[in-house]
Amino acid sequence: MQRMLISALLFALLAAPALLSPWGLSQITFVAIYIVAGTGLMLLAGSAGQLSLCHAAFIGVGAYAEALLHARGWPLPLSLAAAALLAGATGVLAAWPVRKLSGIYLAIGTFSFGFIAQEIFARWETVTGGNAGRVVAPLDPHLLYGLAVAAALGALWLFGRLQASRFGRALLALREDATAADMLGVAIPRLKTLAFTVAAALGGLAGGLYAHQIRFVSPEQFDWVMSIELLMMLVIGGLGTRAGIVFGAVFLIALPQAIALLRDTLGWTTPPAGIELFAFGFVLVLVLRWAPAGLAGGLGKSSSL
Amino acid sequence: MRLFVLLLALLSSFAMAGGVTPTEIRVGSLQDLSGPIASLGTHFRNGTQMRFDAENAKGGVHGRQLKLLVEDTGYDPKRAVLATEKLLGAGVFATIHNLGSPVVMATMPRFLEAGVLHLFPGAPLASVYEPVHPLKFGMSPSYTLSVPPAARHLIRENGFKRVGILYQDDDMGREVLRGMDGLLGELGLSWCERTSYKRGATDFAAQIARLKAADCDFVVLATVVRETIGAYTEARRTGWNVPMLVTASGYTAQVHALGGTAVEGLYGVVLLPHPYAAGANHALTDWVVQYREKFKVEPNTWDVFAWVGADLFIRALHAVGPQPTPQKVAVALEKLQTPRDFLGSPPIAFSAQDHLALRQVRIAQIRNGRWENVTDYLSVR
Repeated sequence: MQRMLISALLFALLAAPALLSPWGLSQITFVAIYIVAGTGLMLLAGSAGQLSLCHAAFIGVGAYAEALLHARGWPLPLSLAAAALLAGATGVLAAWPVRKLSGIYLAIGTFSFGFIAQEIFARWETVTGGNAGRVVAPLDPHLLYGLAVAAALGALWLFGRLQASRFGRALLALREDATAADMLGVAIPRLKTLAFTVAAALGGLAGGLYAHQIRFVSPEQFDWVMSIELLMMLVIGGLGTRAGIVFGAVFLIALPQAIALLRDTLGWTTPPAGIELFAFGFVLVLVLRWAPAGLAGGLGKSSSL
Repeated sequence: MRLFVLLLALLSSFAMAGGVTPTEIRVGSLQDLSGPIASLGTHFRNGTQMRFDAENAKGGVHGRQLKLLVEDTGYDPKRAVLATEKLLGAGVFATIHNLGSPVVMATMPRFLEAGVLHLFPGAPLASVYEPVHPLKFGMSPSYTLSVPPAARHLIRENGFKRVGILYQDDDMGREVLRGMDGLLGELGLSWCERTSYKRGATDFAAQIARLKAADCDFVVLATVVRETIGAYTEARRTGWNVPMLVTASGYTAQVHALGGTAVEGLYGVVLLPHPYAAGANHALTDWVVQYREKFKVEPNTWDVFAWVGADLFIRALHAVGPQPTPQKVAVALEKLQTPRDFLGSPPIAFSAQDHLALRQVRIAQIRNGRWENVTDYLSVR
């Protein structure tokens, strides 16, 4: 049954460019990009129970790297790989001061790292274009769609493999009981550094794709709001589960669009300002009330988060 | 074959531009109705809607009703990109007053590539009118352009020699600095003191103390509402009565509504005036009353922006006759010459080389709890 469902989904993804409007296709591209970014964060927040609030910084590093390298004529596979690697390196940097922290201290530590990164995006004008931002050349929407969907499927596959690996089991052990994991011989600082690196690299890849999708990068896009948004996406989807990443991304991207469509059908000339945000918040509360473990039934309240 | 080509040419001449049907013209607008600048967004939407409604009540333009399709972006470029594709899919003839720099930067190329008129975005960026593109038109000059004429006037008039500046450490601040650097060079002056603050700062004691210690005789404020009030009142609190000029971002009724008597005497750069009902002409009073009835809030300078922009678009639409295309409307805009209107906006004229509407600013000063104009419009070079 599940196999059939997945085949049907893959077929639909293949047929989408021929069937959907640019608006519909763009939504799937965004969902795919957020799945890539979300997979990275899920490793940290879901699998390992590490509350990281600087994921936007990794996405930003990837986005700026791609913007710069693409402008210098690097071929796409190379520039995207470089974006992921550079973001991965940033992940090592981010992990270093916080590798021995947990809980609220880790949250504050990563939150601060996010601020520092955003400040660097704004200050390093010769490279980033400062607050004025940097225009990114567009890609063919179908190519970008293909890349994003492939990256999302790859990320989800990787997530499954990692979960079943020694690394994945160590992350789970860390989440359930750090002391016990330590006693069992898990080198926690090293494990956390590795988790941050993988998460950041996936964030960087997402950022590279994001840069082409938005066609413009500026520091304010990669602020703490984006980090919180990603975390919220995973909680809504279901922490710790692969399906949760997908459900969360669809919820985050497509629900506001669906709400806007619904608003159109009501035939208001001037709808109340902010009605869409209100409706989004309302649905969010409903979901958390009726499915506290997320849409895919993740860890829920038992989570250490 | 020749007949076929002729037929095709004939057909295409009848085919209507995107967003135009026999009964309506659809115009898209990306607003922030729920994000950090939602207080501006609702007014941009209201002012545009009010002008469209007035035209529709008169029977529309060449029999077509103007339909405003507003999408809320929440100042988020991701949602703005999706909203753009939704609008382009629905078919829009033009997009007007799109709000927020990141939103405009991400979406403007998409609209232009689709052949949609990109009119008067609410973003103080030179790139919305330069380099000239047949379909893009801007309303407000960048800060680099708008601040120097006002500062030049005040410096010359009063013989100021020691000019200081307090600027927000971001794009806006940099733009003002760049413009003022040019002006001081032109006047043979140099900065007496430059000091900055981070966005969101609430305490300006250190900055004001620095400016005061340097003995500046004139201070430019590249600040927004709260910071303007904070900096000005701090100076007055310490007994320093130096004249200060705030950029157009600080020219809002909120400044005197929140600042009270403490902000009396502050100068501001005016692009388009705030619509005060008290002491206004009949037309303006009617406009304010109508606005209040319609939207249940007080109008402000952003409504005037939106109204004036929508008015320019409607004038151009009338000029091109019953078969409008974005190109025809753009050419009509280039030929347009509007006089001063009842709202107090300056005469506006574009050309094929110049797609910026407001090439004049004036100076106002807070007197008795409201902004009073102290000069006529000064040209922005």
